Amino acid sequence: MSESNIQIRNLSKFYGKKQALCGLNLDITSGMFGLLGRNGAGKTTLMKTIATLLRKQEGDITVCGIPVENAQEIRKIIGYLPQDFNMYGNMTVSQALDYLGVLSGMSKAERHDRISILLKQVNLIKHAGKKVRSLSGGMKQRLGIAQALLHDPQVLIVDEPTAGLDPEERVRFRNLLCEVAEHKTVILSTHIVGDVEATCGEIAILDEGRLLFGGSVSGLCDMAEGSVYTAEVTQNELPKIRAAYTITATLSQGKNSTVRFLSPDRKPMIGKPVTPGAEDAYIFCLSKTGKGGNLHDTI
Amino acid sequence: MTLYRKELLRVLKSTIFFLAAVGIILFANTQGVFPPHSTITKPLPGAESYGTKASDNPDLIMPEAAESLFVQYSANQYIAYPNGFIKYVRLNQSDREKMGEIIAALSEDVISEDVQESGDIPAANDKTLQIGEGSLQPNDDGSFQIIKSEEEILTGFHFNTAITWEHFLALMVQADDLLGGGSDFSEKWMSHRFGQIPVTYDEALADYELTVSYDKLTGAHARLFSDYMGIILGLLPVFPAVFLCLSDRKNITSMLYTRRISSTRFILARFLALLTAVMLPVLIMCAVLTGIHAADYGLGNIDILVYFKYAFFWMLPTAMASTAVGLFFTTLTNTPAAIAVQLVWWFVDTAGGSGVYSFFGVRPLQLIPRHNTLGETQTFLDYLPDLIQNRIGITLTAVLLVTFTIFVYNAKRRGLLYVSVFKRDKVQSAV
Repeated sequence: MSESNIQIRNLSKFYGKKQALCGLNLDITSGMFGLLGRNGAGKTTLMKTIATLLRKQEGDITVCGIPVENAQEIRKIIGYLPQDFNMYGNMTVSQALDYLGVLSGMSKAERHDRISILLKQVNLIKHAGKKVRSLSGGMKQRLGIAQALLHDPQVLIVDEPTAGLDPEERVRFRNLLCEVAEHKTVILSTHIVGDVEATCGEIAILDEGRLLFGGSVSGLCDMAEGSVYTAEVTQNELPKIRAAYTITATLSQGKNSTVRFLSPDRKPMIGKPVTPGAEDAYIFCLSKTGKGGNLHDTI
Repeated sequence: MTLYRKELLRVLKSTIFFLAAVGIILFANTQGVFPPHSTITKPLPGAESYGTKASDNPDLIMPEAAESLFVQYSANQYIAYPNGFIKYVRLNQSDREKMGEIIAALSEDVISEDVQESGDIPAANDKTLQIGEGSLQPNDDGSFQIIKSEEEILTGFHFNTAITWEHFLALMVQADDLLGGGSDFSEKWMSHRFGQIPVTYDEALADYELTVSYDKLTGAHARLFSDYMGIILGLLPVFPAVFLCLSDRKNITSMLYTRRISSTRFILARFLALLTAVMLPVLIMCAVLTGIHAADYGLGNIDILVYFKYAFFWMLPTAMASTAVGLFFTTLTNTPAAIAVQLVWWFVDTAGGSGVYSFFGVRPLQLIPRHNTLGETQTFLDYLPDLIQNRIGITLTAVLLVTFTIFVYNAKRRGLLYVSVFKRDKVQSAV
């Protein structure tokens, strides 16, 4: 499946004077690939540039060996699920897929076959006649993934697909992506570390258009090894800890709290080292830019 | 073809199309062309009137045209249609003096020698210009009023009947040139504007016979139908076009943009679907009207295809243009601005007609040609070459707008117009 690779070399993109991507280099192989970063890190710009929705200013991108400038050919082999997916509300689920299938140049027989396969795959077969406007958020996202897979693309680009989904839908959606990724390249953009940790073999972390990290999730965790600690503190001590360290999680238990925090440069006065999770490692990675801040996440 | 069918179905199922279709049919009904309120009958001798027609009679045209020019000269406000659209012309001092010389040459009154020689306006005391018994008094805004005596404003004009037709035509050419062309004083339109004479029984009979032989009766009805349908098709098709394009909201477009279909096929399918939809009520009415006329005149006496010929030749270009305006400006701006654009074009076109243009004939890029009568086949045949040119021009305009739409759509697919004055807010959200 080496032809499913995406190669990005020295990619730069500007919006006026603002540089959204700065000389990015990245290789994406088949399977699930996670793209992490804060809001405004450049994830959507990168995804849209690969999906031919934005024109790059500098550098090169090839998708399965095809330069991204050849938009017509690229569109044949990519499927795209944008943020806040929506479709014409007055169409039914199957009408929406059929319409998009026509735009993908599929024959009537192809559309018929693929739509029934996909509706079963995304568990929407019972809702095929339902209007798009009456679908729940989770159902709409499943329709979104079905439309992106309609023409059986080699590369699937999904932009923050689990935002707004309840936990059950989120897990179901992640599993669906993993299933799809067995035979394709799936680029999953998100700022939910748990989604990436649960699904992606390889990840990249972007910050202000630059690549902070590229590699496996375990590689990311290894980077943070020895820098993550946990301690039990009183509520009075908590502000001091927050001021001194980057906190990745806080668990309140009555008057005391258990905190996980980063201390990359020195052994802290309190706490004991723990094995970093992906979320700790992600915050660790961002904190190295000097803008890590605290993650006030109550467990 | 599949996309065309799907787009057509989307349009036909929309509320806005339903309202547009009802509007088109109601308009035809209220104007008395669906069903037709009149039938064509053979003129009978001894009738009180058989209507009027344009003539080339110099004795009629010269005084009428000269007086009209004088009235416009007095107010220093002339109406002209240099590019097919109405233009109010105000002459500067130098041209006003030249026009004054033309007026003087047309008048049997004698303008004072000072003006004739120098072109200067002596004051009225030095500012008043003597014309026969009256005087030409300049106003503060540069216009003039004619003072017959101290108080009475002169409304009449004494045309110099000694002027020859050739001399008159030469003066009118000068006047038309001063006005930038396209005025009522151009040779082409003077007979229609100022040479109207009563139609005689023999002429009415000849027109009837032409209507029977050339139009097979239904042609005349189809022209009147086209006249009214042009007015409504010059406006309403923009609405379904705008609403269809606006239904591609921000979070839908990116999915459409990344499909393999070419921008040309997508826009053309959409354009043709919209066009088919707006023409559908018209074509249904054409079929019904053909049936009504077959019952009235007898199937053997009518041309059963003539309504459809007029639908495609006369009405379709108008519908194409208003649909294309809707498609282009909505694709470009993602706003309903096209409605305002089309309203302006429609208003200028319908309210901007003068004289003969108001009810008959066509200007070069007129959206809505007029033939507001049942019959007058010869008049139609007279302006038919202009009409053909006009319809080709309007069709090309529509094709040009659709081509621009394809370019704009294609550019947006590649993010080229993503960062624009209309989408500045999306720059940040795209990062």
